[in-house]
Amino acid sequence: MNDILYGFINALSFTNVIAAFLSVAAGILVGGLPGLSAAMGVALLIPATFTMPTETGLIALAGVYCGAIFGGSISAILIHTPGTPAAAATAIDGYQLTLKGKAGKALGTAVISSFGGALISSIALYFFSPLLAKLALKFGPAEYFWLSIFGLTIIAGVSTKSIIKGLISGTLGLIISTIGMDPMLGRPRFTMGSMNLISGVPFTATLIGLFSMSQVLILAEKAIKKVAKANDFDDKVILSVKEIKLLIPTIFRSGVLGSIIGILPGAGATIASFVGYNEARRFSKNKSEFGKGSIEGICGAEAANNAVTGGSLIPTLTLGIPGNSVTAVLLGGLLIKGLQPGPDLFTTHGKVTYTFFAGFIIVNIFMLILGLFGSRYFAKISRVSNNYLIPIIFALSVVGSYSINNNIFDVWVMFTFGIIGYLFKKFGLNPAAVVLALILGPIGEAGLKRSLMMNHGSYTALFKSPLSFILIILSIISIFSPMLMNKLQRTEERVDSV
Amino acid sequence: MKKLIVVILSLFLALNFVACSSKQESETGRDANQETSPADKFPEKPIEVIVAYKAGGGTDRGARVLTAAAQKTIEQPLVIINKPGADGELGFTELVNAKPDGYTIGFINLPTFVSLPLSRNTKYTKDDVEPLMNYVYDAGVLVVKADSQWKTLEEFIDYAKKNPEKITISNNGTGASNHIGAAHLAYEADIKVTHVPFGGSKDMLAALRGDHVNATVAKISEVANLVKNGELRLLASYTEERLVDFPKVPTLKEKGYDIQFGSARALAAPKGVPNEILEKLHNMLKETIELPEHMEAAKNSNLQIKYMSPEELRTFMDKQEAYLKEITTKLDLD
Amino acid sequence: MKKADIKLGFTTMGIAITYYLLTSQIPEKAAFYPKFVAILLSILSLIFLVKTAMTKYEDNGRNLFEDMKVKQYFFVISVSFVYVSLINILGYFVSTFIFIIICLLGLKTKKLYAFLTTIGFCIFVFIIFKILLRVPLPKGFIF
Repeated sequence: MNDILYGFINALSFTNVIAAFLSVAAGILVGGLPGLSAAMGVALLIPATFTMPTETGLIALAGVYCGAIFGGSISAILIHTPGTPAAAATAIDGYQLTLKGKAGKALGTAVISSFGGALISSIALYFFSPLLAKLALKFGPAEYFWLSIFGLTIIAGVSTKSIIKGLISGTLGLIISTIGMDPMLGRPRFTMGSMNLISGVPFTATLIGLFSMSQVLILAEKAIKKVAKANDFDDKVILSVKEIKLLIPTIFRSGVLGSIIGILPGAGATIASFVGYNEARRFSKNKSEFGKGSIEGICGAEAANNAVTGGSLIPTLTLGIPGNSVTAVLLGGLLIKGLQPGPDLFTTHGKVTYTFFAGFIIVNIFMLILGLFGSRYFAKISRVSNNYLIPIIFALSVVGSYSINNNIFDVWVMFTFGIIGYLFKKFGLNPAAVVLALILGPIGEAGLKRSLMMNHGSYTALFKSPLSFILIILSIISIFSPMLMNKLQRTEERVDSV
Repeated sequence: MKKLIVVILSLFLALNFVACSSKQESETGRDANQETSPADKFPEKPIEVIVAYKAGGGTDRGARVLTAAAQKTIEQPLVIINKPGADGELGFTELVNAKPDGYTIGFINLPTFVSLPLSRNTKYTKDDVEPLMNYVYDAGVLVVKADSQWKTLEEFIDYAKKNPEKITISNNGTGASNHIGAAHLAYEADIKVTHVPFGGSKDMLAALRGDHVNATVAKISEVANLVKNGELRLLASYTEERLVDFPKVPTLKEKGYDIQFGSARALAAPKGVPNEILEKLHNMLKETIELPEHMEAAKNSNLQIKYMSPEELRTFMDKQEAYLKEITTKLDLD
Repeated sequence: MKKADIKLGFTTMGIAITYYLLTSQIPEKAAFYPKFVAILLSILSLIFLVKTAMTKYEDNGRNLFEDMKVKQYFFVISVSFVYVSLINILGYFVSTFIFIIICLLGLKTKKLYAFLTTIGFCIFVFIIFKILLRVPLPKGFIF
């Protein structure tokens, strides 16, 4: 309890507040620029956190994460181009409102819902993560094996366009993850004799390549045009009490849904926003307004995708299993700071962890303020034309990939994966599945081998504990989730045709 | 107006480049002078300290305690350069290939620095460095959970004799230091146990704490807090004499198994650094670790400081190499 | 899409086979899992190929790379490549300066804006990364 209180006081220190403010602003910018994702923003920030105190660094990472997820909605609403994939559902009703000259109202709804969703997820973070962390020691090799299987089955579910392509992407990720030292025997595999690959393909550089540089190439192949002029708006961003009352049930529902989806490995903000949008429609009294500028629709999507931020931190901090590519990068940052996911985060390192949690709330308060008063200005920046974005993103990708290991080799890795990521996008493969497989593959392999080793080669060890059973059941459910996703996808298509 | 700004900015930039390059020149110029009077003026610029592990890891945090204290004793800052990768091989190679002018030194982790060249083709050898001094020595310990059925080392070994391969011992990687420590004990005590490798010492400990393995061989700094708060129990230490902080824990030696092992972190310079500079570096570093502020900071960070002179360190490394060569042939570490 | 998907299926199949063959170079014990992954990928590729062959695509004739601005694309890729190659020689700031300005001009940005952006970016990185955050940046022989 003391640590929780200490966390709040510490999070309010001058440095931490400044870090929270600046990182949220940076996050909103990253999110607002079409093509720049939250994962990329966080990856580029990691090296910058090296010299910061641990808690400040973590707060800054959370700031970029939360800011970017919200920032995506600005361009979604104003120019009908989601800044991040997670804002695609927001674009549906948000842009309709813009056409009606009510862009202010749309932005206001987005920012208040985002704040509400994030707040609900922060409650989940405070409440569930210490519990799950205590459980973390119960996770032995067999449980980690099943956990990785569960995570991998979710790939099938999240690959909304083509399940088989999602699975292929995941398997390619597994192949990449086998480069480097064998996790059990310490024998190098597929290192091509290079010392640089003995510890495996450098993770953050791979990620920056897959997400940032590939985007540079996508931008480079398109004709550079003057970006659509964002519609100006004069109506107020502040909502009326009546409107807020209307939104509260939706915020609550989407917030809870988003937090749960965030906890699941593999599912992320994009899924959450569509689930939240659909549920908002299902429960709404004004179903006919959906698709024509419903604030409940914006709210359903935005509260859900921002609730993912807090939810996705839970498995990252407790089990060391990041739910999506953003938290995967964040986990790297955590490990660099010498913090190991698990129970110690809430005991030995309690002060740091709870400062981070309190910082997470502060970050969201800044997001609310910046969103309410700054959306107008952020909207202007979301119109930067691609010819500027191309060289600048690439130059930043170089800094990001170099500085993690201080090694030019990593820059070449980033370059290679940039081209691979570009081809992935062209052929409809899923880079996020690769990242998930990169994380889960080695955990699964090592978990399986360890559990066999400890039980003298007997497979029964895999089915001993109740936790294993729960994970097996979850995996089975998740294999059948594509059917559910198909249902969702149909609504998505309907929505796209609007 | 805009044109004017451009002109001013570009001028500024051009000046900047000129200034930087001239600074560079003067530095190289100075380097040339150093050939004649090298040691007197040393150090004239920041000294880079290569750490072969990630920022925030154990070695890095220890290094930062030292460099922070060095601000008091060395007029130029010690700048940490992290070069992680390949179990440290990348950073070690960088160190031996650095310009031998005393402005690049680095941490070498023992036994890893000595054992890597024995287990694979590395691009450096143990003798490519000039030892400066030892900084940290972290003794190995055999540890079980506090609620474990084994209260003493004898009970542990008895059980293992009656139930071959039943006891599982986690370690931090196949062939890594803790694996060697556990395997050597098994060899000397003539018992059969199952070694389970984990990705690192944190995972290895988590497996013990979560009851997934029965015991582990760890370094005392990693488990000290957990033993003090009653979660884990020490069965024995791999030391010559009993540990200062845990005087009740017997050493393996007094139980009749003469095994000593632990990990050390030492400072070294690339081969070829002039003797005067080596001596100066050593004296400055020795002065640093003897500062009371440093000892205090080290204690807070759980660092077990153990000074060794360059000669002692060299002998220590030679001994370690001989030990590893001998033991790895005896033990089956696969 | 159909042609592209068939090409994709054959490529991943090729990767699976090559990868499987490569596993022969590593010790038996360490090769078990990679072999399993290789087989998994080849099965998935096969299913994908069969599925693609059986499905009718509406946009059969469309080429994935039809709308591509080939010149511009390869301009960006090659400038980036040269940029990364030069970093260790020229250092981060000099090479970044050259890269951004060439890239901007090549993408037909107005000269003045291009120049200002480049300088602005370099100063931004210098202040934020080098001075405030002290992030290690590639050093060259010059700067």
